[in-house]
Amino acid sequence: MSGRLSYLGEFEQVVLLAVAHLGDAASGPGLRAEIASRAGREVSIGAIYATLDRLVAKGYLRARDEAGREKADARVRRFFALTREGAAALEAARDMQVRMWRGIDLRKAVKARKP
Amino acid sequence: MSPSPPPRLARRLLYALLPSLDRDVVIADLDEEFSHSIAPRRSRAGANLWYWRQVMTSLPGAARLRARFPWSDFVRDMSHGVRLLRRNPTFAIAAVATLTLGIGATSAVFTVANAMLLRPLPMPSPIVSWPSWNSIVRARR
Repeated sequence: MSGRLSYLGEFEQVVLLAVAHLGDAASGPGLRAEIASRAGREVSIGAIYATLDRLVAKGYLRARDEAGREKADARVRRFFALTREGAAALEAARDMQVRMWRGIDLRKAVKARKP
Repeated sequence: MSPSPPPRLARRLLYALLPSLDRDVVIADLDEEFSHSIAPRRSRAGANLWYWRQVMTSLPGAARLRARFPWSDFVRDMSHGVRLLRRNPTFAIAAVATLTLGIGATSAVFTVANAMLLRPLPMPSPIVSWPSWNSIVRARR
């Protein structure tokens, strides 16, 4: 990481927040379920892995592959964890949103546009 | 009754598009969700439709993953080859010696052929300067 936080897209924020919610148990299926229940969004498994991969490349997430311990469940699962950079990027995105929302009254903004 | 397996064609499609680094993990996740949550609760056609929909909506993401790792298959093949060679050092030495001799002999032959046949002679007009058969016969007389 260069130390400079890059801009987080909306879906990237959703995924990072879902990882933060799940903690150590953040894997692809769990994240899909978490996003569906909290954000009401159905996300394809390909889309979520592509985003997770991009966030790992940015240094915002750390990925680890774990094989099941029991013989009947020997498949590899990939788990994700938030890094310090990821947490900082989320905070920066939240602060930016708070600054942008401050002082806005949407009813007034809509009225002002009426001819 | 055990739940039906995922539709084979859809599974193969996703397998073919995903890079090797991710395909086992992603497909195992999808299969697990299918067999644990979807297949027991839906009809076979409904479960298959769910799987197909998952695969079709995953194709753009899978393509993005593959675009990030265009060399993943090559890297996997290389690491597999290195593991095999380490497991059988005699074969590894024989393979390396064969390659060394083959490449060395080919290089030597090409160096000689290049110097004698391909490069022009180090003189201004090599064809004119080259003695003809008649001039050699005449000089012998």
